[in-house]
Amino acid sequence: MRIKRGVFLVLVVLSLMALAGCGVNESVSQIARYNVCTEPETLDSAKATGQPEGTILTNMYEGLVRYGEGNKIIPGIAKEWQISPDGLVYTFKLRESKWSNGDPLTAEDFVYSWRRVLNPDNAFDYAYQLYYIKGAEDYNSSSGKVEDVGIKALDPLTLQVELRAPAPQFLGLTAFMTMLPINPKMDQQNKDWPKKIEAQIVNGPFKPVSWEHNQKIELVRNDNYWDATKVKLDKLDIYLIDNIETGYNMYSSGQLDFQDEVPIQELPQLIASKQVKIFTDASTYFYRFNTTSRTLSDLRVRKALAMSINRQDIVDKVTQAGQIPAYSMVPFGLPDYNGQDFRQTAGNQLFQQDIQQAKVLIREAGYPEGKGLPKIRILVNTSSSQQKVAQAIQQMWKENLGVEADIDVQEWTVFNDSMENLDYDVCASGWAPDYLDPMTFIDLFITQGGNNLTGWSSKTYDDLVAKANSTGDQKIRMEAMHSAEAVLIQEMPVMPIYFYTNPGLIKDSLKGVIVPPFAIYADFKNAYIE
Amino acid sequence: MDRDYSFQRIEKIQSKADSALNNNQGQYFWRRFAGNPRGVFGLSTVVLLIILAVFIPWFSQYSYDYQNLSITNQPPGQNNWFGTDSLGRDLFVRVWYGARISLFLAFSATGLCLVIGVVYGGISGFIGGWLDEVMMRFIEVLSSIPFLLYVVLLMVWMGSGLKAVFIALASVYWLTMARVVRGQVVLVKTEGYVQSAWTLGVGTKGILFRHIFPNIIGTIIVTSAIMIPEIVFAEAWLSFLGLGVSIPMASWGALASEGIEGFRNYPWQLFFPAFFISLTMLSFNFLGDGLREAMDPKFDQ
Amino acid sequence: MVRFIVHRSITIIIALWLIVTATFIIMHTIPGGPFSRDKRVPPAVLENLTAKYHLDDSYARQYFDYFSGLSRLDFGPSFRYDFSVKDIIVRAFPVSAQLGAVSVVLALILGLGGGIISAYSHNKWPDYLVTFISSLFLSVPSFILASLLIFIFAYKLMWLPPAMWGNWQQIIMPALALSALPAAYISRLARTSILEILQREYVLTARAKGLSRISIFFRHILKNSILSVVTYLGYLIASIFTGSFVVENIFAIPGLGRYFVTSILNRDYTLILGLTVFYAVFLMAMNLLVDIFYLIIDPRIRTIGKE
Repeated sequence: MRIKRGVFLVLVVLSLMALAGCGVNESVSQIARYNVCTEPETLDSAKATGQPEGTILTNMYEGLVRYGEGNKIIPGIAKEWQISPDGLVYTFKLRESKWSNGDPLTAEDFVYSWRRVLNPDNAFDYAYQLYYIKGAEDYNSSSGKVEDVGIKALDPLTLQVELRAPAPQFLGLTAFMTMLPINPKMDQQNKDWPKKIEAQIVNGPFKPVSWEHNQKIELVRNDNYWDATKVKLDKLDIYLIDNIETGYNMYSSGQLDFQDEVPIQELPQLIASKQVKIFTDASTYFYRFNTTSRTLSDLRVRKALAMSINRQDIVDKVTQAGQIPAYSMVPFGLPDYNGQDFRQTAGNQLFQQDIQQAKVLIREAGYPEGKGLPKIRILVNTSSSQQKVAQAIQQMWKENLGVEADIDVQEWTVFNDSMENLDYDVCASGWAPDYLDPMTFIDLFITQGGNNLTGWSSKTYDDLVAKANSTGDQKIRMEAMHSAEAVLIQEMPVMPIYFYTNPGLIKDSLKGVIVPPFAIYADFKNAYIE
Repeated sequence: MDRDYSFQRIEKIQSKADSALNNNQGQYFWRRFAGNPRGVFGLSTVVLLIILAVFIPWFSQYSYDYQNLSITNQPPGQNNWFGTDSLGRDLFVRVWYGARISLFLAFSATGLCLVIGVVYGGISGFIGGWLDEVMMRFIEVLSSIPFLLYVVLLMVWMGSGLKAVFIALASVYWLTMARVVRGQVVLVKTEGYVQSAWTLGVGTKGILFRHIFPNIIGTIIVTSAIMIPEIVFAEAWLSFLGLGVSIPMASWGALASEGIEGFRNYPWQLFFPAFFISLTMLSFNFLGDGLREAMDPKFDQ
Repeated sequence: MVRFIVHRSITIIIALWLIVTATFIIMHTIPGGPFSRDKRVPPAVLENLTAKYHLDDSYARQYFDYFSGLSRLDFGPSFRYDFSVKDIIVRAFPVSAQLGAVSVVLALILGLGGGIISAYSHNKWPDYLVTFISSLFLSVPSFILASLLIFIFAYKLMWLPPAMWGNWQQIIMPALALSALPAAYISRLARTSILEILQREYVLTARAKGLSRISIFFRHILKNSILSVVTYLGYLIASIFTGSFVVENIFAIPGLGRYFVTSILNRDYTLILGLTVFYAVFLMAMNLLVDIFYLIIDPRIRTIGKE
């Protein structure tokens, strides 16, 4: 009897599935298997800081806006918004939408979530991403009250945010994981919700089923998502395998559809056989110069070092993933005021590779053929690709300038510490944007910048950045930032090397995945299996 | 095991050992050793490796760090006998440079661990009692403190370089040796014949060198032999963390770790360093067996 | 026996105190802290973080707080993950222990088997073969062996799944990778000790007295060869059961070993201490068992209260 009933059930389910299939290819199961390459540190959107966490959360939750194809900001939970002429007040009109348990989602939920991010007792790292909001920094540093924070629910579907200064990048930030909403009832009733994925009440395209630590997270389509009809995947398995060779093996044996990290030594073959797609990545790889060191305080030395390396060789032979040689700081992919690309407007040639000129400069600095220049110490961390690039640069400096360098490899945290204490000559660095605006790169190097770490300080530069930050007028902002970048390259406290790319192993059958150039790795909302 | 029997045995072993001593010890030992093909093979390979490591880098046309980015990842051929690596460096000369570092570290660190371990373990096991208890707990304390944490500390204090690696490795691997020696000493000293020797009034020195030492030498050699590859790879791991010899110089372990990254496409980058590590290991094992059999009079055919 | 165990327990507690103290000091001496990030956070945020995790207390205060927590078996929260240190150990240790158990058994079977064959065919070809294979295993570290195993059995032959945890096929390769080195070492140890025993007078006499090879084997050879590896077993079990970073990383196994490395790289203070305590207790308990085993199998061996 029991067996027969089982068979009957299977038949019913099968016929229902056949009826339900619509739009996408019915003969293949709509399951995508993606490796995010690490165990998430947390699945609490307020606490999370990394791209892997951002990726998982963005597939489970939706903020006020979302990034669509071509890095366009598209409506998310907010169906429309207004920005006051002075650029200070944002009014979001929310669509009627539901949490995965069927409760309505209101503007109050956003107020609750964002206040929670800023609560100093919670001590969330990325609270500072909300410092644009009026009163936010004061509240987070325990010197202001929560009521004074400029986040208000005017009615259940209207959210008003007041900024402390104009910041056009704020709109895009509302898609960022830190600003995703959480369900207040869930948070109040079950403090352990970040630990129990199945207890999470979500509002995004997929809802959680299970979390096997260091193995995988299983998500299924959230039928209560407002745009659920567009979600074609029935199931999204997010693997948490940190060894990328292992991920590659699983991909090869058909256990994965997508992994956005590729073993470097496999890259040339995989690119040639078109198994790897190269996505854009709005990040820059550069070396910091310690401008407080005796030799590197000389601009001529810094310029000579920057001009004498062959970036094309580095990207072609060493990193091998189609990276773009960088002769400027801000990468491609960030918008300018006229809808164009910031980098394309200014061009990528703020300086040139010029070995003859570099030789002249080093001679003028008093070190002809590099003689008399103390050995330069290149600080790198334990990443093997960084070590390779450093070795290539070491030889280029030696051959082209006669400058000798040592490579000092340090464990990650020690490395960070040395960089912070300016205990280096030259230091390998990278920067990935927090939001899609050139400011995320430009304000790095202001005198007070916590991430400056070069000892460099320029009044002109600081003034230009302040000017850009004082207005919501994109034209003025962008022009100020272009001028600031020119000053930066002129003074050369950093030496750009290349703009990153993001090579990914992706099956041809998996379509519609959005791979943004920053913040998250992949958005599966519109993905489907062909 | 009755007393008479043990007595006989002791007499016998002593007379054998004495005859070995009288018979011009060195000559006797070498004759026995030379008669053992494995031992001879082991010794000559080790000597050969050392000679090659010293001389090849001198006479090579390439230097270990010269990169030619136009010939990256080349298979072994006429110009580059072992092929090239991912930065277009000649692997042949890199392997022999690596041999200098790895062989030096392996032998010196193993040697030091051997001495400290045997003395420490010997005292602990032989004297026993509360001293043994304290000494063994101390070993457990040292082996429980996270090695990586300690390595980071050393790195911060001493910077990178061979000296720091040597200290890091030696300060950890002697623990293994001390434990093993102590275990063996405890086992052997309770054997009937050793007990009987005590009762017969053989002195401490005699017990140690006539009875205990010959019976544990085998285990000591086996344990030293396994320490060699462990040290070679521990060094690679340390240099990855920034404690080892600084890049672009590379030890065998570092070369093998680099080779594993692309072994599907460029298997030679893994094969050559791995081959030489294994060869060293095998020869050292054979050498160890040969030495022990030549030293230990019990192994008369 | 009871006196022995009580006595040992006291020294274990003292040793544990030393271990925690030393680890605590080193941990706070090395640069960086749990909130050291690639992107530096503003001072206000850092203040909130240090206050929340009590890192703004004096070292002495943190030190005593840790011990008072420890006395209640409370290892504290992880600084990096949402889970407590206890959560992580309880979740990950069974996986490592399961894999470890298979590996130890495998190592013992292969090692003792190899050692016995080797010793009985002393200086003949099977002996050479075993020496050769064991030298190979000893000189190929687990990360290379693991990659090669995956390449052959998962990539080329497709007999086994390349990674992850859950069914018996997924145990085979990691267990082989973990047991290769101990098996090789055990075989060398066993070979050595059997060769020595075979040369001993009492075995020769026993043989002369007409005892069969088989009964000599069981009465003397097997017993002694096991004794010779038991000291090693205490450490082997302690280290293999608590997991291996390399093997867990390559085979994507959700075990404890990975945390021994990542906790230190992350400066996850409570997790570092918790794992250190866990490992130390496990190790000392194993060594205690080994000593008890000796007492039972061979009462002449007294490690305590003698002389």
